[in-house]
Amino acid sequence: MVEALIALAAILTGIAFLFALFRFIKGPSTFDRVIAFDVLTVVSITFIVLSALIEKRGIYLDVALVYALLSFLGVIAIARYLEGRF
Amino acid sequence: MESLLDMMGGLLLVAGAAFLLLGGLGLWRMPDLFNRIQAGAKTTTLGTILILAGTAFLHPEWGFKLLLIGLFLLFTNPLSSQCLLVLLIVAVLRPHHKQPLIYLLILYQKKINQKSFLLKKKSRLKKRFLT
Repeated sequence: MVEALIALAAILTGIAFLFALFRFIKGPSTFDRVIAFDVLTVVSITFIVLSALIEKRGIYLDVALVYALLSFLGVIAIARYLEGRF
Repeated sequence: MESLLDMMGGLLLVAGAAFLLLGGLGLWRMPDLFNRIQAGAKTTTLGTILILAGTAFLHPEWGFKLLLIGLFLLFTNPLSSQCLLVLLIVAVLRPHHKQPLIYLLILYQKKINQKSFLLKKKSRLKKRFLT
C-alpha cells in the first residue's frame, strides 16, 4: 500500500517535472526559462528525497541538501547577471 | 500503530506531489510572467514541505536532515522567486511599458534604501565621535 502511494507520488512529481521542462524548452523569453529552472530545481530536490525513500538510504538526503544550496546559488547568480546586463 | 503512521506518510506524499503537479500545470498554462512566478513559487514550497513531512512520517530516524532541508527551502525558495520578480520589474517593465505605479514603487524603494544607508553611516560617525 505504501509502495503504491510512493509510486503515485513519484508519477505525479514526474508529470510536474515534464510540465516545467516543456516551459523550459518552449519559453518565449529568457525570464520564462529562469522561472522554469527555479521550479525544476525544487522538483528535482523532491525527486532525490523520493529516491532516498525508495532505495531506503538516508545518505541521499545529504545530496538533496547540497543540491538545494547550489541550486539556490545558481538561480541567484543568473538573476544577478540578467539584472546587471541592462 | 505503525501502519497508521505509514498511511499518513503516504497520504502526505501524494498531497505534496499533487501540489507539485498543480505548480507545474500553472507554470505551463498561465498567460503571464507574473502569474507563472506566483504559480511556481507558492505551490512548490508547499508541495516540497509536504513531501518532506511525509518522508519524516515514513522514516522517523531521518527527521533531523529532513527538518534541515525543509527549513532551508522555506528560507531560500521565496527569496529566490522574489529576486526573480525584482529582476523582472527592473529589466522587463521599465524600458518597454513604463507602468507608472511599479516605476514609482521602484524609485521609492531605492530612496528608502539610500536613506537607511545614510542613517547607518551617520550613526556610525556619531559613535566614532562619542567614543
